[in-house]
Amino acid sequence: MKKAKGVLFVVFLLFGMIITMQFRTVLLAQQQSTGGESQVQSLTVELEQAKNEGIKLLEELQRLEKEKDEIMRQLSNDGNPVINELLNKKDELLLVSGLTDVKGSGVVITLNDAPARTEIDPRQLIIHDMDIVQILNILRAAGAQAISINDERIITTSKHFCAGPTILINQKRYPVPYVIKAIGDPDELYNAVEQNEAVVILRIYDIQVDIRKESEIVIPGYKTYGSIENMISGLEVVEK
Amino acid sequence: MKFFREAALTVVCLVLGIIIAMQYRSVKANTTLAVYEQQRVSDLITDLLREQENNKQLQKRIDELQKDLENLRTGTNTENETIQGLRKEIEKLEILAGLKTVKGEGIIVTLEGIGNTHVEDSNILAVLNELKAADVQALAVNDERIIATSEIRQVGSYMIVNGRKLLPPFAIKAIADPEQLEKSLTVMAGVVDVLKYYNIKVDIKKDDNIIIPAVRDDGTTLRYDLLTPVD
Repeated sequence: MKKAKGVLFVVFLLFGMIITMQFRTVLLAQQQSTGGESQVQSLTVELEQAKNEGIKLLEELQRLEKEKDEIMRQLSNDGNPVINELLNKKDELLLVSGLTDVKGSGVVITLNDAPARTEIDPRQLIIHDMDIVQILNILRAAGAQAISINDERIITTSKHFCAGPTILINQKRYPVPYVIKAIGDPDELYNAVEQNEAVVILRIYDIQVDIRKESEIVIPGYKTYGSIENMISGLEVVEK
Repeated sequence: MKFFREAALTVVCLVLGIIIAMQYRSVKANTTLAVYEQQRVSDLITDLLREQENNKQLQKRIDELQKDLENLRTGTNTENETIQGLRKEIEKLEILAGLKTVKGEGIIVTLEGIGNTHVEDSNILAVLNELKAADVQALAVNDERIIATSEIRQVGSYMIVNGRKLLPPFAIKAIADPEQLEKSLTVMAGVVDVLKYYNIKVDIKKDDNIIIPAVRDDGTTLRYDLLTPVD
């Protein structure tokens, strides 16, 4: 009889302790989540503001650059044709480097994660950076002359890698769907992507790969925030 | 009496068991949620800092441009100075476009299949993508300059890059800003294990004097005839 009472005592002791613990974790979790929530909210607002400011600054910069070119052309028309030649050369180089907005015909590819399914490892249902690398490679091999992902122009050193459920392109974060635009021969680009083994495999996992031919696609230029010097600071020209 | 006591004990123990299980699950769920939230907060902070830095740089360039415009309008700049300025801008763009042979500090990553293994195009693509993520400024595979439109296509044991056939081993050269070089090296060290798993020998070498040739200027690599500038 004594033994039973002892057991009962221990059981109730545990019971009491657990209820207290539960109460405290719930309280703590509530505190944390409201704290985290408001931090996420205020950061999101701040980020939005910074982005909007950036758009305005970029527009202002482009306007000033155009104005500068116009003044220089005027100067050239008044007697110095060399300036005009150099300005044309500069425009061509901006086009080659991918810094100019361009249009042309080509394809638009929309990629989206597969719907969640329990029987498959979720990692196989999302799009990985290597999938995108492969698709860009197919487009290049098929003669694409300009490519963008979610309107971020892909240039020589453009980086794109997955960071969880989002992708970083040119250091900007984007969620799915990923929209890849490519200017080139629409039929060649379309067939190359449609028939590629990597794309077939993605579709087996229900990852959406939607390819559309389009007669007019606009692809924005690469946005340089800092000076071009920053992008070539480690390069020294070797004269041949 | 004895029956009631035992019944009560059973019920209490049962409730206790259920509560312990619930407790365990809710703590686990809370931790997952907290980790996810932390990730979001840290992503947001990274993004915000980058946007602010971008804006600062944009403002700096706007200020410089305004000064340029002022000088142009008032005629402070002589025509020669204007021409010099344009020439400098053009040279920078030529470097950026890959039209100049360049040298600098960087790394060379050499890939070679062991035994019957061939290096695959995806192996090279993976290395290039990692290097790009580490902010390299110029890239080449076996001295074939990599530009925005360069493809890497495997045909048997060799690769086609910029429409040209390259034979193994494949030496991937990258020039990075010296300050960023360490980052490139660490990133590459991480990739080595994955490639080793695929039976590929990887050799990473730091080099102070890497030369990367200009893109071939015969119209086969740099093509932009289908692009119309938009105003």
